[in-house]
Amino acid sequence: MKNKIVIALFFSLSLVACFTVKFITGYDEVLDQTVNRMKTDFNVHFIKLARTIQDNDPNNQKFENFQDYYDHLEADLLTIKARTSILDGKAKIVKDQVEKLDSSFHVFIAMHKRGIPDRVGDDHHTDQNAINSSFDAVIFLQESLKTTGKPN
Amino acid sequence: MAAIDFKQVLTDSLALAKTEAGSAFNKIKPFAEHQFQQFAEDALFLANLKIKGIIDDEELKSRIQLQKLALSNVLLAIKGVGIVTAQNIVNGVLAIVATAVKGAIKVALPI
Repeated sequence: MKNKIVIALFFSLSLVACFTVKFITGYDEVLDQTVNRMKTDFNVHFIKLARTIQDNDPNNQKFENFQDYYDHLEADLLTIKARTSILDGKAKIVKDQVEKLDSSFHVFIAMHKRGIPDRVGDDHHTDQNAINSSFDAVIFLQESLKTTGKPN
Repeated sequence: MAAIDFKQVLTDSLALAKTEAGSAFNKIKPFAEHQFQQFAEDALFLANLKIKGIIDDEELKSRIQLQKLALSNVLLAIKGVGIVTAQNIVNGVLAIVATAVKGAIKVALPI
């Protein structure tokens, strides 16, 4: 009787232990590196933009003057969305994060297109913080997924 | 047939879970604290701009939308790290069990 219990227990444990579970995936080296570079590019862009909204020239902050940055940004957004589109179903959180980052930039772009006036006391640092938080959130999760979040 | 030391398996599993959960908490706490505090400060700053008439409703709406998207992304990151932690605990416990089985009856489980 005792042997039967031990054998049954062994097979139960074997069944449980026969695989490594994977609840979440989504680490992608290209995504990780691209998002880190995009964060640097955005902050360089924002520093230049912030300078133009704190002077007395109402024209130097126009969207057209920053078109080159936004063209590169759109290309980067296409790249990271393409990378997440090929991730498996357990990478939904990472996919959602990239969608939110994309949405954030489209809100920011629309705002810049409408015009950002020279204004004392408002350097738009809240917008910079928000975009950086979105970047940091993606980078934070990628870091955590780096060792265990690759598909089997 | 040698027996498995279930008490030891349980002790090792709990120790692993405690270490993993503690490590995750130590990573999440400063990240979450910084992000939540910044969100609160920025929301207050924007509300003040609106009260002073510096920005209009449309601009406030856009800029709050940016804040909301950022906060959602932060919460997704925290949720993701929590799931990674659960995954590490489950896989760690599976490895402990496999080691115990191998030690007791010399059978290597395919983990």
